[in-house]
Amino acid sequence: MIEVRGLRKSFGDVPVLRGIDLAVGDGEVVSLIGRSGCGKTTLLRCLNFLEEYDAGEIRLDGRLLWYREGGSARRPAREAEARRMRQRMGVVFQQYNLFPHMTALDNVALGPRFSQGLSREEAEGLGQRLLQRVGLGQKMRAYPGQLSGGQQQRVAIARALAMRPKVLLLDEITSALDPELVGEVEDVIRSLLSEGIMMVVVTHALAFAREISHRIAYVSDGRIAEIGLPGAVLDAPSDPTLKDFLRRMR
Amino acid sequence: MTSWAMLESTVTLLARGALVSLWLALASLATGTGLAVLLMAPAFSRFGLARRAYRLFVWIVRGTPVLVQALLVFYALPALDLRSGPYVAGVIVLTLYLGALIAEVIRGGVLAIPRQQWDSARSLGLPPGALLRRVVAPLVIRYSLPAYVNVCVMAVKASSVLSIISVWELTFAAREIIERTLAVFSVLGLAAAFYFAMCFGIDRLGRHVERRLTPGDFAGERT
Repeated sequence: MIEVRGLRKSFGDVPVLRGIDLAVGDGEVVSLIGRSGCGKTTLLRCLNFLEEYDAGEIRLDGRLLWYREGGSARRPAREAEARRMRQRMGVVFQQYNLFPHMTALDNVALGPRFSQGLSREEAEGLGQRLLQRVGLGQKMRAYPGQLSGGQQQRVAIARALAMRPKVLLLDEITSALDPELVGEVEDVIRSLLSEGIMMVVVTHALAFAREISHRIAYVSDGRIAEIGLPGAVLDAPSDPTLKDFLRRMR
Repeated sequence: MTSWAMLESTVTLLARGALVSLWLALASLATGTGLAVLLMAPAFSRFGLARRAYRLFVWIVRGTPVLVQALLVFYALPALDLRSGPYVAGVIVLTLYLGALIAEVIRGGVLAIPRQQWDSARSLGLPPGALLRRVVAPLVIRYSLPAYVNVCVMAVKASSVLSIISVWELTFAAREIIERTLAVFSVLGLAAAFYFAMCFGIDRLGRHVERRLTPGDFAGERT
């Protein structure tokens, strides 16, 4: 499980996260919703240490991430250690972020091959299986520029899965897509639910969040203002700003 | 000597000079590119002092004429008790000059890598070697190729400056012939045509490589 305690982060003088506490259990799917700029994407980026944070701690299965255990001063973990930690998390970004100079297959096989030391054959075999799984068996040799946004995002999901991560972090993965392409990406995520992989999902798609999440957390002003079962948070909110937010989203 | 024979000997001599110019340019480009790659260590160093030293080097080289640099190195080498010919001095000058220019081209290429690509690479936990070889280098090569070809073309033209330190190359050969024949415009015109042919060839080659390196719709890639 992931445990976040007292996470704080500012960009310069502007506090973005003002003390986040969150626990996500094994196999649990938690969606983070909230207004733009509320800190939900920053929280997700902190989980994978794409952003440093000023205070607080993140633990994965009890082990402290990103910073060294003990001692009074906060010291970042060694680079090699941070790389090992990152391999336990897969990230899918809003803009897909595929490497434009590599085929779909090379994109997926890159991490297993060079971060995890698989042989070329093993890595490509894994890549082929995963691309087939996201429905892109015919597009393995295509470059990102030759694929639609939905296809690129499915490659990105396969790339994240190729690391065999414990946790999947999804950052508004359908926000940049044309509406008719959203479904194919959502279908891939649905297909993962039966595998019981832990997911933290930042999204504006409330219906999708309701469908896939075990719990939904409403982030407001750098804090988790409300968290609970999807029905409770979306249908019977108690936080006034959440009520307002939900009204606007309808 | 008939005018036809004279033209023939002129063209032969200029062609030989052009070959020397091309050789000087290519040799200096090779060493200059090597220098530029090495300069990326201080350019992107964690240490401010190294970054400042890099900037100082670029400023000095970029802020002074190659002509002055050539004279400086030419007179400095014997003073340092290094008995080298003008060719060695010439290659050293062009190496430093092109090294600084190419270093800035590469640095620009690194800075052009979108943040999202770094995020991707970091989230995959790629070790530094693989990150450099598989992601950074291929992207930097693509981003900086047009500017790099530009520097290659400049290298051919900059080599003409070396005639001032008695490097026998195309411009030197042209001046030699002019002194003998006094045919200023036709000889200079021919020399210019040789320079143009070389630069044009490099430009076409660069375009060709650019196309080869750009799979699919790379330029249209949003990230």
